[in-house]
Amino acid sequence: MPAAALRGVRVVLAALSLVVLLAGCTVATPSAGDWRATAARSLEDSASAVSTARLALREQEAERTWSTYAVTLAADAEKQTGTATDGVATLQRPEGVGVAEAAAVMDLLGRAEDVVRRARQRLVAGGPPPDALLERLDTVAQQLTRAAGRLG
Amino acid sequence: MKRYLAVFLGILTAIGGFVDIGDLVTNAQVGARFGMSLAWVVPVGVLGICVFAEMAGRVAAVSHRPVFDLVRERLGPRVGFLNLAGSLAVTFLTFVAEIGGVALALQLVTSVHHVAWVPCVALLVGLVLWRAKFSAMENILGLLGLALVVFGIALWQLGPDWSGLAREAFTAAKPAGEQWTTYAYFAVALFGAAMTPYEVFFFSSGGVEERWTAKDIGVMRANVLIGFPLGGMLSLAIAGCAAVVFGPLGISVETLGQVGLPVAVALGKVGLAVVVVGFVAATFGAACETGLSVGYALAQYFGFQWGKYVRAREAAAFHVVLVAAVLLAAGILMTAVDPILVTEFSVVFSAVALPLTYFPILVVANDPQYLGRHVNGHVANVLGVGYLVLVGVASLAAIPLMIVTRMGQA
Repeated sequence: MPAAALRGVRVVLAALSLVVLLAGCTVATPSAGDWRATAARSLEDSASAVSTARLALREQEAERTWSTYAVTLAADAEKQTGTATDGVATLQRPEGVGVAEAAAVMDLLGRAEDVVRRARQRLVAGGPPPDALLERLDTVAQQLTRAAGRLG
Repeated sequence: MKRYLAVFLGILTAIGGFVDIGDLVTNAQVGARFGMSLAWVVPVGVLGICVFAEMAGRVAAVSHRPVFDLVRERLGPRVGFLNLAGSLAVTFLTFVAEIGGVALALQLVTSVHHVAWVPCVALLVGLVLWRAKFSAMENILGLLGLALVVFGIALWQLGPDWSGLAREAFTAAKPAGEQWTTYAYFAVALFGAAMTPYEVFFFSSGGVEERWTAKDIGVMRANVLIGFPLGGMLSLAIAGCAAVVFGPLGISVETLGQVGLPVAVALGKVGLAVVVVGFVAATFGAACETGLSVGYALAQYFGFQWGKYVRAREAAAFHVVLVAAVLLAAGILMTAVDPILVTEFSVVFSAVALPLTYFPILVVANDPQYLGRHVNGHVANVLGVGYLVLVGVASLAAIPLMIVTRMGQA
C-alpha cells in the first residue's frame, strides 16, 4: 500500500476511534420504548422470582423440600427482585414516560421485593406460612405479569 | 463376561458423565421458557458429539496418540495453536463454571454461600486431579452422576400431558410472544452445551491413558453410541420437568436450586436428596474432566509429558498446569462472579469454538498414515462434513445472537 494511502487509513481510523470514544463518554438516555422494554423485563423477572418464592414456601409447607434448600431458593429470589428493581431505578425516565407510570412500576417492584423478603423470613423462621402470605405472593405475581404485559 | 461388564460399566459412566453444569442450566432454562419446542436441538447435538467422539476415540485407539498431538503434527503449529487457543479458553471457562456448580450444589444443602465453598471444592478437585487414578475417578463420578436419572422419574411422576409435550417437541413451534432471535440464541446455546469441545479431548486423552488399542474400538463405539444418547435423554428429562412445573407459572430459571425444584415437587425430599447428589457428582466429575483437559491440551500441544498414568514427578509441568488452573479458577470464583452467568457464557463460547475443535479431528481421522485401514468411512465423512457446516453456522451466529438478544433477555 502506498505511504499516502496508509496515512489516509490511519487518519480515518483515528477519527473513528475518537467518535467511538466520545460516544462512550455521553450519558445514554433511553427512549420511551427502551424504558418500557426494560421495565417490562424487570417486571417479568420479579414475577418469576415471586412465583419461585411461593413455590418454595408451598413445597416447604408440604415437607417436600428441606429448610436450607427452600431458604436458598427464597434468598436467590430476593436477590433477583433487587436486581430487577435496580434495572429500572438506575435508568433515567425519558420524556415520553409519565411520572405516574414510572412510579407505578417502581411501586410494583417494591411490593415484589417486600413480599419475597417476607417469604424468605418465614422460611427461615420455620412453621407453616400464613394463607395471607401465599395469597399475597400470588396476587403480586399476577399484578407484575399483567403490568409487564401492558408495557411489553 | 468380563468384557460385557466393561462395556456395561463404560455405558453407565458415559450416561452419568454426559450431563454437566451447562446441560443442567441450559436445558432447564429452555424447558421453562420454550417448553419442549427446542427439544430437537438435543438429538442433533448428541449425534454431533457421537460422530466426533467416535473419530477422536478411534484416532486414540489406533495411533495411541491423542488428538492435540496429531493436530499439531498434521496441520502445523499455526492451525494447532488456533485449535489449542479456542478449545483451551472454552474448556477453562467451563472448568470455572463446574467448580462454581459444585459450590452452588453444596449451598443448597447447607445454606452457606457458594463463595465460601469455593476454596474447599477447589482443594478437593486439585487433590483428585493430583492423586486419584484415572479409571477410579471416571467410574465413581460417572456412576454417581447416574443419580440424575431421577429427573426422568420425576417427569413421569408429574404426570404431564405427554401428547402435548410430544407435539411441542415434534412441531418445534416457537411459543407466541418469543422472538425468533431469542429462539435461535437458545438453540445455539443448547447445541454448544451438547457438543462441548472438552468432552472430545477428554475422551481421546482418556483412551490414551487407558491404553486403548484397535481391539477396543468396539467397546469405545458402544460407550459413545449408546451412552451419549442415553445421557441426552437425561437432558430432555431436565427440560421436560422445567416445562411442566415452571412453564405454567411463568418462572424463568436463573439458579441451580430452581433446576432441582421440579424433582422436589414430584418426589419430595428423597428425590431432592438424590438430585443434589447428582448435581455434585455431575459438576465435580465435569470439573475433573475439564481440569484434566486444560492440562492435556497444553501438554499435548507443547509436547511435554502428560497423563495420570505416569507419576507426578515424571509429568511435573502437566501437574503444575493442573494446580495453576485450579488456583486461577478458584480466584475467579472468589470474586463472587455468578457461576450460572459463567455457565451461560461458556455454552455460547463453546458454540463459537466448535469449528476450531472439530475440523482438525475430521482431517486427522481421514489420514491413513495415522489410522491405516481405520480411516473414516463414507458415513463418518458425510456426517462429519455435514456437522462441520452446522457448527460453522452456529459459530458465526453465536456472538451476534448473544448481542442482539442481550444473552436471551430480549
